Amino acid sequence: MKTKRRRRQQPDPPQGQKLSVPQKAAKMLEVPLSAFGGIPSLELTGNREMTVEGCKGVLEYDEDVVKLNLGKMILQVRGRDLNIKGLTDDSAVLEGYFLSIEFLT
Amino acid sequence: MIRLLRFLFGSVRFESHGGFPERFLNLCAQGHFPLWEVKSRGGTMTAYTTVKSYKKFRPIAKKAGVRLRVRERRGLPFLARRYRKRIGIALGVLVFFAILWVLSLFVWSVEVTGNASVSTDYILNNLSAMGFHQGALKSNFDVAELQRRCLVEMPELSWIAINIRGSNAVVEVRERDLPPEIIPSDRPCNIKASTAGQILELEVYDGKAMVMRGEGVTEGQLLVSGVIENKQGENTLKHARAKVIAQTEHTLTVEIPFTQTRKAATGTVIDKKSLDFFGLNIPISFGGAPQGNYLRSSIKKPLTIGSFSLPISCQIERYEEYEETTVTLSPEEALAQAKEQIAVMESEQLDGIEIVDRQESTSSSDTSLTYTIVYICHENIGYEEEILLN
Repeated sequence: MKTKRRRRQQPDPPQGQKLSVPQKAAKMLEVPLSAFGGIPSLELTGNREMTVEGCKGVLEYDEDVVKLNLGKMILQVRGRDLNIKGLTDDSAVLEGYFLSIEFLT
Repeated sequence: MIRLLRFLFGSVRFESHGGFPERFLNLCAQGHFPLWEVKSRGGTMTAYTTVKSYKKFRPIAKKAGVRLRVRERRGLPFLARRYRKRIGIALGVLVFFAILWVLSLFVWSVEVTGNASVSTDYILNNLSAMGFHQGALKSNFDVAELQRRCLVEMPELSWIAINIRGSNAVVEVRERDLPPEIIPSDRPCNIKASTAGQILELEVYDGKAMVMRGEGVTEGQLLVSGVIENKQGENTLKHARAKVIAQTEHTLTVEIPFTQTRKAATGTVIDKKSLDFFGLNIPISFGGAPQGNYLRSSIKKPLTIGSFSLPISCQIERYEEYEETTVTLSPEEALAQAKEQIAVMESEQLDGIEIVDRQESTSSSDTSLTYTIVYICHENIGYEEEILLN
């Protein structure tokens, strides 16, 4: 039960799951994963602003919770006074007071 | 920058009710419609978008089932729409730019740099004579042509560059070091005495010496001849060169009258002001020049912004009244004045000449004092004079 919870929260590939080609390449070359495209990335400024690259769309939007579609997972941000500062077809900028950030698979 | 662009192109704050606002957001993102400041409060979502995008929102809103309502319009297109009937504003802007453009066609100030011995006024006057002055139309000049003409008109200058930066013209000049008039070394010439004296040193580099050391010579006497006769009696012509140092005598005399008229200011000052606008003189004070004994001086104060002087200046012509008074000098005062004057003459006339001795003498008559100095000098008295053939 404990392991199941951990798996839900951390989107690490489970034991035996194959790595994607960019992930393999990054591992081989020992460079950060962000060097290869196709993987969503988050940039946080304190708990006030978040830039999400690789956002495929907004699933839920309220002043307390925002769910963003990151392709293979869902990013759930809880907080207060949440706003979408900017939105384009592959990125989003959130602002507000973030209380929790979760990855749902 | 982004704010400026949003202002220029206009933006709209809108509200959406009901339906699926998330779907609406996604459709906007997919359709590359920019959205910012998206807020969702109690089932109502507000956001900003561009005017252009908002016009295309209808099908998207229908798909997402939301109802849109404009809450605020911002930016230039809406401002322009609001003021479209106020022709005066547009006209004012137009007139402003028109005036700016017209004023930019003129030369506002002319600055001269790089001159040392040639005066700025001389250069400005010459340029002015060619039509290039403050307030002149810039398009009237071909700068390259003007520069060429300047070099012809002012032989003192070896190089001139007229740089017009905006409305400010900077004239950069280089002065020419005028070569002394030297007879070319291939032309035959003699060395003659420029003044009478006794020869102390004679160094002949080329030619035949006609005088000896210690000999006295008169002005214009031949010192070194360029005509050399050989043993066969044939003449060869040479460019004679020599250094002839002689002891010479120069006399300077000053006469100072005992009774002199002096100008004493009475304290009455009349200022006549006028405004100089692009070379056009507009008088501010009325009346012509005052009658009587007046000393006139002119002051020009250009209007400046920082270090940049505008082509508008205030010209003040100051008339100072004076009285002529007769002063009688004592012999001591007259002598002091004479010494002052002779010192000026000495620095002008005997410049570069080595003065060995001076003998002063004073004589006075009933009306004036005469002060004389006889200078004994050592100087090079030789000058070249061409032997003219044919």
